[in-house]
Amino acid sequence: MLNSEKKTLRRFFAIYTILVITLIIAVSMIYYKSSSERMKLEYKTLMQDFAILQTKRLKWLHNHFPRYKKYPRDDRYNSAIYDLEYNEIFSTMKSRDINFNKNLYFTKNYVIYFTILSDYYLGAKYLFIEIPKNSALIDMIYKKIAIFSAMALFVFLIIGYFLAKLFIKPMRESIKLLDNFIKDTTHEINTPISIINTNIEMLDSSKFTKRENRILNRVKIASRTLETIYKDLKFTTLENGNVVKNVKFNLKDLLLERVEYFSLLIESKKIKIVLNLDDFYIEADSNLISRLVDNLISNAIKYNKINGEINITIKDKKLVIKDSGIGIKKENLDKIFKRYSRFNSSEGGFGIGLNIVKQIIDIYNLKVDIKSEENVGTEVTIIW
Amino acid sequence: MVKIVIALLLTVSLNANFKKDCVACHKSKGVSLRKAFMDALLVYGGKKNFKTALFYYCKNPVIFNSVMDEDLVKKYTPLKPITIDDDELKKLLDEYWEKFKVIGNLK
Repeated sequence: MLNSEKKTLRRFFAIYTILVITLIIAVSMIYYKSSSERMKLEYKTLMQDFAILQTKRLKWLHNHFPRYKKYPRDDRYNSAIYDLEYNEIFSTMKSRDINFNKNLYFTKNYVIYFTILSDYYLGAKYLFIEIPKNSALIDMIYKKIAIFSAMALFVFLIIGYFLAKLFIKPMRESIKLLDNFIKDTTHEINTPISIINTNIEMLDSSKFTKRENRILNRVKIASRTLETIYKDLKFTTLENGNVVKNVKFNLKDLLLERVEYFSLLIESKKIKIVLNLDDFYIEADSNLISRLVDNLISNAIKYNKINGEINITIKDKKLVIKDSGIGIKKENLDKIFKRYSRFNSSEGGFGIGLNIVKQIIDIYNLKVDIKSEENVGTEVTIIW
Repeated sequence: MVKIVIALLLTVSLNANFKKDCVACHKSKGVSLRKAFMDALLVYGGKKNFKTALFYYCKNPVIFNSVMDEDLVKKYTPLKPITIDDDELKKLLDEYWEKFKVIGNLK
């Protein structure tokens, strides 16, 4: 899966998950509210009955006071009476949380119902009924919400998975189309490139005039550029089919060979090459390292100025290729390794060169450091 | 009942004495001060409201201010407004409340 696909999928899933979670929270809240309202109604109905019973008992006591002084008690509930000046007349309640503004309210362990008496038996205007809170009811609501949320999340994530597949299908098809096109094109240009290169090499330049030799050089440059592009495309299209053959070789020799290979192109832009190469033996597939080096040198030439400079250094297990070219914008630095990423339309290309570099770096667990300043140049360091 | 209580209170002197004047008189008329208290409490509820209502009734002892049984009130009608000093009347009502109050007497 391409990075752009991953990024799109990540964004889609982030938005989708936030929406799903918001929806689940909203539904859970509605369910919790309706359940707790239903629970409150059940409590209220029960406690209203207790209040009616307690009022009757208060009435009886009022009529028989002070012959009977025992405040009426019941195992099922506690109660308290207050006069109209909010003074406590008597209470058997465990909770001290008295609220004259709420008809039904909950404390930590109790549910309290409050009613106003029409007749002030024993001087009481306010009657409170208290029963222990049934936490199992609330626990059951929470349990139901948790189960529902988990199930809904699971179902929505499955739906999200299929939606995401639908979502990236057009993007995948476009990439596949491009890949197939490149693959077909690569296959088709192989033979003509080989023929051009073989025939150019067969020409005897000593028999040409100076002007004809200049023309021949241009053809050579063009054919080598084509060959580089061909190799890059071949590497990319055979991404999963490249067989790595590691051998020990001197990176310095490879660099010298590749610089020689690009010499005509370098000369054409009048670029000064400064080489500072130590011997450095590495064990790797020389074709892969060649692709890596070719792409870096090719970029250093392609994006350089006429009469520019390229410094190539091998020192302390580091390969540094520094150019005096147009540089890369800061905001584009973190995107340069993405396939088909191009930030300069003045030069040709598919935008796959640095992606190839990145793939080879990853194969050998190398480190890469890129420093660039617009209109000053770019310095690429590969660290072994 | 309250009207009767107040009617009886009308006869007390300036230096009224609850036991001597109120209780004795009520007893002689066969009107229970306790019953009067509980009937008034049923309507007036709290201490402050109770005393304020009874004070007002003592000053204006008319039938529609009464919370007592109508027949009983009519029996002692017409009633004259109490003439004793307001402070004295308040003291008598304080004593009346303290003697028969429910708060603090329930078990």
